[in-house]
Formats: sequence, structure tokens, C-alpha cells
Amino acid sequence: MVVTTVDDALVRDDHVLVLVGSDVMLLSPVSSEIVAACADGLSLDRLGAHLLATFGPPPPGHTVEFQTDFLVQRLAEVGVVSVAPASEE
Amino acid sequence: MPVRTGLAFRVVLVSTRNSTCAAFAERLLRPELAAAGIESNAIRVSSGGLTDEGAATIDPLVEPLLRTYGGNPGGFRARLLDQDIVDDADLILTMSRAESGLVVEQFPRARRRTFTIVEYVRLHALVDPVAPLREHPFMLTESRELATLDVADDLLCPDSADGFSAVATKLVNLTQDLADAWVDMAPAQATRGVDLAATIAHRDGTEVVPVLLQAFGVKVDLFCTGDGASALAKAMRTAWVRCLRPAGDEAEVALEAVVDDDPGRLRIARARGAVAGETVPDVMHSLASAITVRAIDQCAGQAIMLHAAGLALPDGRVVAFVAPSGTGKTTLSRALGRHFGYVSDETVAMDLDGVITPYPKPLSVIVEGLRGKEQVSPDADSLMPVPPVPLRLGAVVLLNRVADAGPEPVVEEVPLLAGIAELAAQISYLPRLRSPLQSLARVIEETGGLTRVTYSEAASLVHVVPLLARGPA
Repeated sequence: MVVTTVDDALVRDDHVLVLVGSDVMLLSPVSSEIVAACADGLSLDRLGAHLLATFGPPPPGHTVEFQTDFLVQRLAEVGVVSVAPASEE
Repeated sequence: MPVRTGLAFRVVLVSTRNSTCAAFAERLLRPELAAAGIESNAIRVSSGGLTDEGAATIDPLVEPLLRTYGGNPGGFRARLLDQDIVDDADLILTMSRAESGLVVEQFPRARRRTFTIVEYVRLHALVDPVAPLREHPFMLTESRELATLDVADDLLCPDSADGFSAVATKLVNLTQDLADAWVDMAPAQATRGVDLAATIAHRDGTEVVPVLLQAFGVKVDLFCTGDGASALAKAMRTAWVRCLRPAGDEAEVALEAVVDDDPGRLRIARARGAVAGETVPDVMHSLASAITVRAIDQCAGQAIMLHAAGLALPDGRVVAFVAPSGTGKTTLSRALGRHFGYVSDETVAMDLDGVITPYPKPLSVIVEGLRGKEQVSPDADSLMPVPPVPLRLGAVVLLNRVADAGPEPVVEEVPLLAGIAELAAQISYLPRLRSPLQSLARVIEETGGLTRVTYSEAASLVHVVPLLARGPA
């Protein structure tokens, strides 16, 4: 389960600015979409399907699962989302 | 009962093996801070390593030198740096660039809080930030390129006592520099004026000269003592003339300031938390930071506090020029303050509706030959007073001084979200506001959004200021 963990967020024109601790970060459109979609928690599979429906297929040579996992890990490293272990999903 | 208003500043020193350089620096920095009157729960110093040594004690190569320099190795146990330690730290200081790289690689969230110790000391001296210590890393990270580090700046912990001696000497100097840099802005207990006055009065033969001030609405009692008490009080009343307040109201913040030429008395004064120095200019320089930061601490969560120069139009609209420390706010204030009401050269503070309380402190001016900055009265600089009407935010402008920019300033719109991301490092206690980003966006959008002005000479901005203020009068 992926859950958005920001302290505050500001949305303008499909972009999202987030506050995590003392860090303020302007997110890319796809990261903004992840933050919005995971506000109440979403499984990785469902998030992947959501991103596929919103942005279309990933670049040739990449799978939706790989791209979704990569993006989520990057956001988790900076505290924008948290990922619960699979057993809790 | 005194209440600590500023949050503790938590520093973690890191070396490849915790038991060597980081342990040495930790055990030296603590007594340095104590000697400067900083309590151990105001600045919390610990250390960690990048390799697992178990719970090793201090390395035998390091211990004798540590004792020689007055550090106490007792009770030390090595720790492996982990996510919890990193998350709990406001500042992570490594010995080398390679170690900084490893910290950031393992803990990406620590990127803006991780510096080498040489880098941090150097940046602090160059940028001279005036803000609560917890915000310094975020301010200094914006100026990293100024540090210009090379291989000679990396402290490499050697494997012999002889080799460590040279590193130890550098660490002794660096920890002293850190204590000096932090003493004026360390989180402090909020001491009421009446309590501090009573404490000082109990000291036999102490001359006490009070100076009553206010900083964006925060009432500050300053008690000048020492051989130079009268001279300091007189100079403070002159330089801070626009921040004086009448007697009567109880102060939220109280400070003791000591001018004395006796090193022993100064050491004792610092140990009890006073701002102390040998000369009036030295102490006034320190007081400018101490008063500003104490007032900022008091307003945490209640006010939007921009690190900005503020100039007021006759109708009360204030243009806040935001820029990092050391990049032209005071110069701009001196140039534009002869045409518009001088609000501040350092901090523009407003409530969540954009109503501004001025802070017309003395201008902090660099003078060749003076250790700190000279504190110049806005009256002596012929700056205009704020107009006798309520002040409110008229514009937030990101300053971009470029030495070889053309003679005419260039004004451009800045997208709101990108602008706030850029602005955030220049706002004190932003996370403590209610709905921080929403609150900030609301006051900025009421002024018509963010702009950036690129200029070379501050005087060229005079005719631009009224055009920048787009908010309602």
C-alpha cells in the first residue's frame, strides 16, 4: 500500500507543491498524480493502472510495474509517500 | 518557570569510523558550547559512523589528544549512522566530501542538511545567516558553491597518532568556530525581563542599564552590564532608535549584554548566557542577531516571517524584497529607504492576513577593519520612517542581483508554486504555521503573485517599487 505522507500540499494547474518536515518540494506532473491518487492509500498495482490510464504506457523497454515502483521508491526516499510491506496490503 | 521557545538544534558529527574524528569533534564541541553558555539541551551534539564498530569506545589513537584539548572521552560508545539518527538531526557534519556523499547516498532526505564541517564553517562565515539555528542548513545549502572545497579541506582520519595530531588541531579550531557562530542564535530560555533584572540586581556592585526595545511587536528588555554598560546602552538607544518602546509593558524576551575588557568576567558572563564582548561594536553586532532570533522564536507559528528587506509606500503597502543573507538586502534598504518608508533590512513579519508590524532595526553594514558588522541607525542614514497608516503586504519580490546586468532592472512573473519552493528557505518557522503552504499562498496571491527582479544597482529600483506593489492598499 502506498500512502501520501506530506504535511501540507498546494495544488495549482495540475502541479503540486508539498511540505515534508522542513522541506518544500515542487513535484513533477507524474509525482503530483501519485500524491493525489495515494491520499487515502492505494496498492502498487492499482497505482500502476491509474498512471497507465492517466499518462499512457511507459517508454519502450520499461514495464508499468517497474516505472511505478521506481517512482514510488524515489518519493519514499524523500518522505512524500510511505510504502507499507506487502503483507499489510 | 522559564520556557524554551526555540526548538533544540540537533547536530550529528559523522566520520567513517565513529570512534575517531567524529567522536573527537563531538567531545570537543560539547565543552565549547557549554563555555559559551549554551545548555546541552539547546544544542544537542552527538556522533555516528559509516561503518559498524559495535559499541566501540573512543579510538586509543584519539583519546590522549582529546584529553590534551580538554575533551572527556568518558561513556562514549560508537554508533552506526541509521535512518532514525538521520531523521532526528537538523545538521549532519562529516569530515570529508566522500563521507558526505555516502551519507546522502544512503539517506537522500538528508541532502540539504549534510555538509562537511569545513564547508559549514566556511559557508556560515560567508553568508552570516540571521535565523534560528535549525534553519541555517536550509539557508546555507542554497550557497554551497561559495564554499569552493578542495582536497585540502577534507579531514581524513589517519591511522597513526602523529597523523591524527594535524587533524585534531583543525578540529579544535573548527569546533571553536562553530560555537562562536552559534552562540548568538542558539535556542534560549524565554526569560522575563523582571526575572532577569532581579537576578542581575543580586550581583554586588553591578551597574545595570536597561534598554527597552521591540522587534515586530515582540517586547525585548536588554540589560547592559559590565564596565561598558553605559556606553553600550547609549549606543544601542542611538542605533535602535526606531525600535525603542516606552516602559510599562512586560517584555516577552530579556537579554543581558556585557561589555568588559576583563577576559575572566567575559567568560563568566558568556557561561550564564549573556551576550558578551570586549567592545561596544562587537556586542552590538552580536545583539542584532540575538534580538532578531529571539523575536522570531517568539512568533513561531503565529507570523509569516520573511528574510527580506521591507519598504513601505505612502499608502501602507509594503514591498518585501526576499534574498538570502549577504546578497544585498541592506544595500537595497539604504538605497530605497531614502525614498520609501524603512520597514526592515532583515525580517518582514506579518500575520496570516498580511498585516505587517515593522522592524526598523539598525542597518548591519560591513565596515573594513571591524570584526562584525557596524549597526547604523536608520536616522543616521536618513531613511524615511514608515507612514502613519496600517502596513500590509503589497508584494513579495525575489531579488536577483547580477553584477553585470543592464542598467534597467528586469521584472518578471514567477509561477506561484516554483516561487514558493524557492522562497521557502527564506521563511522562518514555515512548518509551524497552520496549513503552511495554503497560508503563504493566500497572502501572496492577494498581492497578485510573486515577481523576480534582476538588477545590478539598488538605486535603479527606485522607480520600480510602486509598480511592484500590486496588492490592495
